[in-house]
Amino acid sequence: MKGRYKALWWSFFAIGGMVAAMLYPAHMLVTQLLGPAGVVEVPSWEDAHALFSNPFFRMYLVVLISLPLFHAAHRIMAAFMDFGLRGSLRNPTAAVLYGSAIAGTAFTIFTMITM
Amino acid sequence: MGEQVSKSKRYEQQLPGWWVFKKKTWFVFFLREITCIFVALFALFYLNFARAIYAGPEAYEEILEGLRTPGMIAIHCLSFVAVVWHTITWFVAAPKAMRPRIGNKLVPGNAIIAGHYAGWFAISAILFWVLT
Repeated sequence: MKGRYKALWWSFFAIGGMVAAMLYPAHMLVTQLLGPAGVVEVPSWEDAHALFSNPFFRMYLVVLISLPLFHAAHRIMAAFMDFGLRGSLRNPTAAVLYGSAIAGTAFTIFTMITM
Repeated sequence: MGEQVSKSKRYEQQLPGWWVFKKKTWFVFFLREITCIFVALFALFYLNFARAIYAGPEAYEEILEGLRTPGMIAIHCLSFVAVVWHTITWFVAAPKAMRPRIGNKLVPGNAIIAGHYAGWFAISAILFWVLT
């Protein structure tokens, strides 16, 4: 990876880490734990659809989903290097990881525009 | 001679793969790093969840049904703990990454961490209100 791109990837990593730290626990608690356990009321499809169709919420979802993917890609890459990934495998591994984050972002944007 | 120097390889330190298990602090560092897998899994889950909502009431009901299975609840308990661990360790690292000044004085690290927690609680309360 060229040095001049490192700052860009690192900023995606940092903002994605902050997004996940600040927003993910509340989303997980409501959607994956308290809702299924019956502690909080699960929104009807009409209510959920109204919220998820709001243009601002769609933009929020792009940020919520895409930036943490870059965060994860960066940390997985760092973990591979910590476990001894060197030499010729380094660039292809980085390409797969960051490429997956880019693909995930593109698919999220596509979903928010077309669905 | 010059050619020999240019051919010399860059030094690359070899690490045994199990080094993270040799010291408690390294293992805790490793645990922090692997929280990113749960972060990525939740991102993909939420994309799928949004797509189910867009797809219609049946798809939404189906994904809600899947969330109620004991296996999924167990996995989601584990991933919730992992992501809260990510949050805590992220806030602890915050003063090391940025150290703003007020006038000539550096803002104390604990104040930066406390500010992050205050923001987290406020944002979580808003999300709780919006999502329920």
